[in-house]
Amino acid sequence: MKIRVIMMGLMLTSVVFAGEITGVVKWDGNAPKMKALKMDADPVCAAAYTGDAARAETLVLGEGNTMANIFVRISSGLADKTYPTPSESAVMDQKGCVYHPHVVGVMVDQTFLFKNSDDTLHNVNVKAKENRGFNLGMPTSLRESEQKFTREELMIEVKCNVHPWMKSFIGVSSHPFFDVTGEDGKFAIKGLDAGTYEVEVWHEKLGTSTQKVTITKDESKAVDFSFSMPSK
Amino acid sequence: MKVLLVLSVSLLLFGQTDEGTAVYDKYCSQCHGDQGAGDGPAADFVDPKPRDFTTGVFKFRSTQSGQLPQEEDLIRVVRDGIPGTSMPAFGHIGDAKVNAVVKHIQPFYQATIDRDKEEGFYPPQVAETGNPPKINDAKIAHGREVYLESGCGDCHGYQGRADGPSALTLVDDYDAAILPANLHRGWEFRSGHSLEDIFKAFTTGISGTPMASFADAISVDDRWDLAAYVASLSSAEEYPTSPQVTGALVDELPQTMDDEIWDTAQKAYFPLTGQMMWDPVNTHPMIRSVSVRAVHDGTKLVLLCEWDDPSYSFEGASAPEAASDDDDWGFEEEGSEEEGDFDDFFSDEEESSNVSVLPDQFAIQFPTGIPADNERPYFVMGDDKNAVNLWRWSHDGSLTAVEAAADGQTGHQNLWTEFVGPVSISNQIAKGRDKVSENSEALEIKGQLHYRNGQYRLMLTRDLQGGSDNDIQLEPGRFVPMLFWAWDGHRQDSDAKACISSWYFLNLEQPVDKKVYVKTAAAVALTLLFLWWATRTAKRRALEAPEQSNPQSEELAV
Ligand SMILES: [Cu+2]
Repeated sequence: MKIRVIMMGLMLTSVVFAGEITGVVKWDGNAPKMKALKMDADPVCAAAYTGDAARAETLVLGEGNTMANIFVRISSGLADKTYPTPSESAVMDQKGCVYHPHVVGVMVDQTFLFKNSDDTLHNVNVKAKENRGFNLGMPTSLRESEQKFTREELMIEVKCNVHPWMKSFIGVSSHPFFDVTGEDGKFAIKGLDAGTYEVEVWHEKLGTSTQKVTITKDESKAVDFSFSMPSK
Repeated sequence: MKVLLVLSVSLLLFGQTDEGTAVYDKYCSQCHGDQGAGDGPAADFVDPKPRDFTTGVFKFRSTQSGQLPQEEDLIRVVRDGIPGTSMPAFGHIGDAKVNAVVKHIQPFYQATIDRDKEEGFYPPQVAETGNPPKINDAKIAHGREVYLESGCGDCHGYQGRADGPSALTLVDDYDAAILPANLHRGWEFRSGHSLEDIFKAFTTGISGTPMASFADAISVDDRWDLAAYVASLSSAEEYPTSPQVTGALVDELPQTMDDEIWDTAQKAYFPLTGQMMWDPVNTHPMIRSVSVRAVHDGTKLVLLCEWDDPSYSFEGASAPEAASDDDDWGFEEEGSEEEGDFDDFFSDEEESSNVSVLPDQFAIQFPTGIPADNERPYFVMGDDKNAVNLWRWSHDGSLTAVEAAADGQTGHQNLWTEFVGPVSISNQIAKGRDKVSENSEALEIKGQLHYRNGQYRLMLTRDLQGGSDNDIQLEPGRFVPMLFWAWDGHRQDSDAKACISSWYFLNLEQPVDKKVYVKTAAAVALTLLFLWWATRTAKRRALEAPEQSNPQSEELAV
């Protein structure tokens, strides 16, 4: 009981008073149009798109070329300690034969919930290297499956072999200081003590880049990133 | 010094023995590499690639998905080999050596063992199986429902012939194309073909492949029913090779492939292997057998040939491609004004994920004219001295699609592929690979074709006698050599890259008469002699080309 009170207190402090690093990730270049996914091999998938077709998610841009699906984390500068595992689950849903979200972060030992909202078979082929990889068949008789990742691993590729366009990524972090950008390209890493941190952004094709940021106690600092097409 | 110490300690700890090392170095390291990384000098020549033990990923397990195999699982693979791959059976070296070598490879995946130990998954946990039930028709029928409801047909096809809509796009975890098992060929199942083996395959999954674990999704009872259904589709042993196909004499010839006459006709099973005599050789024959039936009415011959081909390919068609994870960003090609930046990056890229295919083909090869008693032309399309007569079909795409499942089951229509129609059969003369010409003034060969869910059926009709000098002259009571060719257009088979059988015989029944017995006895003796020769040749060929995995030559040796 005492512990819980202390914990609550800590969390409150972190939300209200601790420092944060925020920013926007942008695409530096022209916005390509992504390929429409051809799903006619499975009528259940095809039927999910009566209007606009689903498109490849390699590059998902918002207005003003902001980039979604960027995994952002503190890659160094944190105190060497263990952080509590959140009790809520990280979730990845298979819906319309696309993963939602396309990129998701989870803490080591946090529950990870795979869902299948489609009336068709998906196989969740988790191609982990540090963690124990597995390949979970999820026909309609298995709507949810709880899993756990026990080691830090950045990033784990997840694929469906039945629907070869289905691909997603899981970032397993040993600490809670990570975020994934939405279409607005924004990220926010909260609850940081004063210090100098390395912020790392990751994109599935473009790899990572980092910036050093120093914040004082309770300071909020913005740092922006941009990606561009690599020259050949 | 420290390194040495650590090494010797780990050797002691993990049971590496002199015996295991000796066995490993002698039999395993050529493919699997000195340190078990799957990078031995012969690794490049085998397909599928040899296992890299250092990844700690093993395909065939009795344990849950994501866990290491039991020692028994590994012992079994070493002892019995893996059908359809280059992994031979090593049972002959004895249990002691097999056990020793399984212990020897452990240190190669020590990191995985350590991790699993730390997390409480080592020793690995065996997947729950319960007891295999007694199989009956109701269980098989229910297993069929489980099969369709669980999406097995997405890859393995509506009737299990590996022709599901996702079949051609599958890749393994190394992004190499991989095919689902044809469930009608139980003897080729890599993880074994007993009821327990089949149960295990979809319970544990097959690591590194698209085959997932269904332990959480399907109840144990349902999984046993599913296993019963899969087991019911084929025999565990390959069908025995027939020396000949006997064409019964009938009053009325069958008009269709579904004529009842075919039910009573002898169904001969002929294995096919990759053509290995000329370049380009076919190291991965996709079509591995043909079943043949024959009847005649004294004037005409009708042949019914059936073979499995998971991909329906014709001239000018395209098909989905294995979805390897290349540099594709998924940008749309059009929208030219915005392309600037991407041109360079994508200049070497294919536009779509479809590949163009070659036509599927099938041919029956005979000698020309009146076959000499104990002489057969060179088996690969004859030579200058002895020409062959080919009845050849090449898929021009002229068939009619049949909509909807014919067996009345609703749903799963997307798994259904059916085409039917008359086809033209060319009548060719070959005097060797490069000397193939149309046979002028030849007898007409009528062809009807039916493709359904991974299986071709071709019905051919021809007059027994007449035509040109080059037409094979058929006469009841005379044994006529015949041989089969098949090409899978989706695998870019054409010309020499083909699947081919040995010479077999066509024997048309004649009305009973004393002389027949003598002739038949002689022909049977000849056939046996030929089979013996074929076996010897196949064995020798297998020895000369160790990288070619050829399970059928073993079967022939029976
Ligand atoms: Cu899927």
